[in-house]
Amino acid sequence: MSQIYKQKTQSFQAKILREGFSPERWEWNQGQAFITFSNGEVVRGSCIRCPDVPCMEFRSDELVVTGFEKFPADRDHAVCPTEAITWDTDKTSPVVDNQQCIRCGLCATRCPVGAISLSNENGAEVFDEENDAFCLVSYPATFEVVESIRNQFHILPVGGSIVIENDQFMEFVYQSINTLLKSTPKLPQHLTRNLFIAVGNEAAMRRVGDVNVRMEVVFSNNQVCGTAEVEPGGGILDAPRNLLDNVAVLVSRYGFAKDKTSSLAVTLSLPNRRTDYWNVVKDIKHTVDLKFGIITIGALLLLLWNRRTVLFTAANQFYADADSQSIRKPMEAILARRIELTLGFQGILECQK
Amino acid sequence: MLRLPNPGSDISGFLRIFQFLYEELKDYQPFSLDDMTHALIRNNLATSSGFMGDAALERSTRDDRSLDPLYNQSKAYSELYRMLGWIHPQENSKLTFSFTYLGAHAEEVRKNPKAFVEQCLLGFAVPNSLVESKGDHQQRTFACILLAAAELDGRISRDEIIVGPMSLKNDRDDAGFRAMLARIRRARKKNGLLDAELREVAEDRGITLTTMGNYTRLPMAVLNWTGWAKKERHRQFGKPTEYRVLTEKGHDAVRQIKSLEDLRKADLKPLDQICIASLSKIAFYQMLERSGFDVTSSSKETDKAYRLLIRRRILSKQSKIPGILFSPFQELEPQTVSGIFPSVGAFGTRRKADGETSPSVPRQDSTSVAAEVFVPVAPSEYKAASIAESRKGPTREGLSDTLMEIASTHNGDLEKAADHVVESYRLSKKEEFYPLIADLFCLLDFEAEVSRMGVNYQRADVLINQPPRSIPIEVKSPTEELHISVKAVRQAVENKIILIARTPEATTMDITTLAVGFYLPNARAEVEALVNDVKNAYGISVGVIDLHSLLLIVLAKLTRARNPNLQKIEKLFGIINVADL
Repeated sequence: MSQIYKQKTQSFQAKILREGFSPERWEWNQGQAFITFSNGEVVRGSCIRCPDVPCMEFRSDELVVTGFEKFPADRDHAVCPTEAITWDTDKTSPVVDNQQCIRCGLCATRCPVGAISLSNENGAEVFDEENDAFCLVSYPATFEVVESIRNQFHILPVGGSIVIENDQFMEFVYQSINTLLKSTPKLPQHLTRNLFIAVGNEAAMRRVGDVNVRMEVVFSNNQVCGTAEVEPGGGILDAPRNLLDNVAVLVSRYGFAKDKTSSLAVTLSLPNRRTDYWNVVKDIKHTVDLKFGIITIGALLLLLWNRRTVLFTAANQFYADADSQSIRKPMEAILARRIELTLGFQGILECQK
Repeated sequence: MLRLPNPGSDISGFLRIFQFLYEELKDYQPFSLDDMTHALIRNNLATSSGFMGDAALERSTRDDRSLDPLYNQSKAYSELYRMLGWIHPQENSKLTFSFTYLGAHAEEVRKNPKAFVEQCLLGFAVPNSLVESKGDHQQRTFACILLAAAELDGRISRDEIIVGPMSLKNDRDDAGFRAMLARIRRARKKNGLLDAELREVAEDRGITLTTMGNYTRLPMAVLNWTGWAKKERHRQFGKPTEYRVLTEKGHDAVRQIKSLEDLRKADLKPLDQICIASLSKIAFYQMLERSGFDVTSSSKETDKAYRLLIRRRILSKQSKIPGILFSPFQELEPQTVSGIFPSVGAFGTRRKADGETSPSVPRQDSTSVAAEVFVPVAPSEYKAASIAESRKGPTREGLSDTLMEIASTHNGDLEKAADHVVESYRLSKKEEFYPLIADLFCLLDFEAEVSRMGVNYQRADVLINQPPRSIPIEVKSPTEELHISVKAVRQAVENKIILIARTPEATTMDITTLAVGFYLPNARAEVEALVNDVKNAYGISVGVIDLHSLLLIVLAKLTRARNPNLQKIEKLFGIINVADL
């Protein structure tokens, strides 16, 4: 058999927990994860050099969507929708490009030991140093070594919010997204898919350039299968009719039950109060008994930062129409607290105007 | 100007698709375009007419392969992969392929694909034995674009790529290269010069500006994806112009190109097979090494090849083997390469369409049933009639008179009369077209009116206002879309829902909602499928009518007193069949 050469891979020294450090609890505080250990020490997580880089890549099974096995999904495994996090072979851990980072926090939530912090000034940062709890050893960071550490962490109770939202932080996130939209046209769909997965739904996005399938994003959970239309700009008025098309296809061609489908419009900012979007959604509910929800990228980020699992439903917890043009109430119900964003700010929870 | 493949701009996607194809077909070589299509379908990497899986294959497959979208898609992929040297055609069949040793390495680059793809892009040169290139260009295209950009203040625009590197006859002719740069520099200083150059290139090649733009799609995507350049707008003659500006990585690529000995197929002509093989091996393993592969175990082979080339005085003895830029899989004949490098995968077994038993895929006729009854109209040979001019502000009676006059001109031939009128409205905007549609329905005794702005329930462009049998009509003028599409159907559905919700007395669910446009749908199957889906899911009937059909019905009424069955129009479902009415 002919020799097929392999790309060079770096073999890094493993980093393990020092003796006597058994993790008990994990708390997020001001963008950093702090681990409380059995010996009473509270220490930051440090990168353990996972060979499968969960902070950068989804596993293939994470991108499967039950009920949509034939959907022509974009198999892009990247967690970061802007390619901000990379790992060159001359570095001992992944590195985040501050200019490309939109501060979504997806990489931070996927680090199994809380080694990635998130701040407005610096974006996501990977902490790779030895500390009181983590030390380097002479042998390489193999999958077995890393897994034995990860197994101790994934069962931990986790407290706190990765980010305590405020207008300033969210403004920065939105500015970053808007700036990168031009050079990364796939960004809205990619971010939507990854956020849907992060909050507990299976999700897939359509392949770039596939003009034959009209559904942009599909998702499912143990309750529903659904589709989402992602409209970051002014195209939100198209969303209801596109969702009607999607549901018709799901029901007619693929045998889904209409009352087991969920439909979401995903946007950066809720449409203005006077746009007919709100009336059309109400008309659809009235005429064909479908509740189309709407959720903003900002709202999805709030769910992520507060580590909430939200399974989208047919009854659609994010349904909003002309009678109630806001998603603040369901969001605050899920977070079980008041959300610290000014009313109407960036149209994230209610209309700006 | 050089023609490059135009499969799209999602380079990561093309690589992923190749990796799937390799996985599926490496043990079933050689493979055909149909084999590729089936593999793509099996992996949900291809769709057609709004369908996925086997349904997509069924809808795509037809006797005239040039009309088969999935077949054409596989053909586009195969051209790209040949260009990159990842597949080679068979000696006896240009459209049957096998994977190359280089292609087998493409399958390995899942974690760090960019370095490898970059080297394959830099390896592309014309002329070569794999991809046909019109014109007698001799150039290493992507390298040439980078080198030109570096000389042009580190930036280059799409149009400059067209008139510059991609039109350069010989990139190794220094004088020619400098002259090309000088022309672009002059064009940057004088308004209009670049456009003049573009026109010259277009005329010379006999292609349109749009086609030239299409040929640059791949290089523009490459510059972005590799990170060699980033988009920036610079003001040029008072207006913003988009440039690709070399990044640090792009400059590194330029330095790398300049540091390597650029070898072409033509340079190997005087050499014997052993020397060609030696040079090819050195160049190939260097290419892999630059792509981040660990080729330590090949060092004996490359040392041996180097010593032979020194003995033959092809290369001089140096402390280390000189760097060579040459991709044998992208330039040499497949038969030559197969004698130098190992083959990969297994040959001799054909994979069936579904991997096991293979029911024959029903072939779709290139004409549909509806077309037997209603023949789509080709643009008329008649000149645009005065009807468009006279329609500006005419009465409905005026329209009626004009139509009868035209019918008389054509000796009562209603098809020709309808053609005539259709052609006269070819460039009409909505201000003209919507009232025309409303008036035509009025001539059929419907109470049709163009919707008024600000009226809540009148979202439709035209409304047949006759409660409880009102019909909303979504109208698409030819300047909005020439052929009725799924977009119009979607809007028709929305119009119906809005009308029912906001004015429940206006209509009932069993009354149709119409999508009326200029020509019948191009993607007929897709529109028909959506109409069926909407009916099944919501119980809403959508009727689709083109201008020609509507005119036929109206002309028949006006000239022959043949009144259409209005109830059938009110319940219309699917694409209209005039004979049925």
